Amino acid sequence: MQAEQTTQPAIELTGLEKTFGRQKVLRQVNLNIAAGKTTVIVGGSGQGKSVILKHMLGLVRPDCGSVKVFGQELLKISKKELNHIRMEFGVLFQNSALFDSMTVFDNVALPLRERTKMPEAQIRAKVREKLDMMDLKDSDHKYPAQLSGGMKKRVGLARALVLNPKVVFFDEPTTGLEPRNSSITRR
Amino acid sequence: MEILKPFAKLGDSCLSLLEQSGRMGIFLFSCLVSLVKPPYSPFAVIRQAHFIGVRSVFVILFTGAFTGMVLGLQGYYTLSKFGSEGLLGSAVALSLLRELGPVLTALMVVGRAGSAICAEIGIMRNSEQIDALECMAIDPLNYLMVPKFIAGILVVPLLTFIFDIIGILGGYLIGVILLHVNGGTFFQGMYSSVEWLDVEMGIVKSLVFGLLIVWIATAKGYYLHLEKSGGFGAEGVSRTTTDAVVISSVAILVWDYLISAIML
Repeated sequence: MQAEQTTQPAIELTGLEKTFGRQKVLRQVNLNIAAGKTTVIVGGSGQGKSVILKHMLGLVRPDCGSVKVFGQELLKISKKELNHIRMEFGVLFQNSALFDSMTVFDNVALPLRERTKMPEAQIRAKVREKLDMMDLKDSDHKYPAQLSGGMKKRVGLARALVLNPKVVFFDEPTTGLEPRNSSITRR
Repeated sequence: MEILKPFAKLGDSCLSLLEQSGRMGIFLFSCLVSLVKPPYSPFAVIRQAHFIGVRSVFVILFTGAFTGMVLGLQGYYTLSKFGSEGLLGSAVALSLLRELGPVLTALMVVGRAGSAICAEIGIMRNSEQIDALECMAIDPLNYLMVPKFIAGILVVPLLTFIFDIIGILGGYLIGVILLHVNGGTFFQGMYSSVEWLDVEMGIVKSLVFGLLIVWIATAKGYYLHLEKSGGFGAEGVSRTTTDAVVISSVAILVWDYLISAIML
């Protein structure tokens, strides 16, 4: 996780608990994530890493505990304020979560088209820049179903970075990537 | 205690039903609020209107024509027993405008578009595409559901209109061309018996059915991950889609009765 250099933790989880059905996934999780650092959460599969991530993104409500992002308690703020915080996030999902009815280009352009008032020419330039960065410049017209797992991950990463977010969340960033391409996420 | 188990199961089912109803009610309310909130996306509405409407026209023409034809045939057979073949036009028109037009159109749209909408949203939920939208600060209700709601409410009445017209022509074909009922009597009977209330009832029903179809299909897909019977994977999507079609069809018939009872 990368964040801007400040002294205050970018994300604070306190006493977080979550149960799905009868399965307790998180039990008293306390975690401070400092700004400007790369933080890695490691654990066996099914132990709740993705669930922690979803709490930080405000996608899942905890049974108890608190989630503070940039000093704001996610459970107590309005949807508008939550969206304002989310504008500072870039997320690479475990399975890339690309929109399968859109081309690679449109997938990466979506946040710019929906969340900014940038002119189309500027959007095109910005998307091309990110696709070039991910070695995907010849795949912009393809649909996600026509891509390999590694290429999907790189498209997901290009989309996560296109708004130049302050914080980038990676859920299993190198799974399915060959060693050469997994270095892209480290960069 | 073993003896209390059936009661516990019954209570569990009741709670689950209440929870699901509440969830769907809140979903509908949130979507209706989102209808008036910007950003507005006319192109997305046109795309959805094309998907729900234009691509359903062929099936509506086909079912409308055969419904009108069978009404003409059965109506003639029944009315001729009383020497009232002249009332065939009004029987066909009233049956279509009040009941069969809105109901059969809605059932066709459920089968063709409602199931597809539910599967589309369900797959988006399963593959984290809806989560991705939320993380990009894009409201999934506004971005995904609102264009479908507007298109459904606009398009189902138009499809019903097409169904009614083609159905009346089908009835005319059988009654007048094949069974030699007088053409003038056919249309005069229709003209004198159809009132504005009959047309109004058809319009109200088709508007409500359009809303019901999109509401149930989108809500079932959106909450796929919360389905008690397990909503994940291809099987979860197929089960939820089947549920959406069944619930929509039943809801259409129930609301058909309720609207008729209120308006008559």
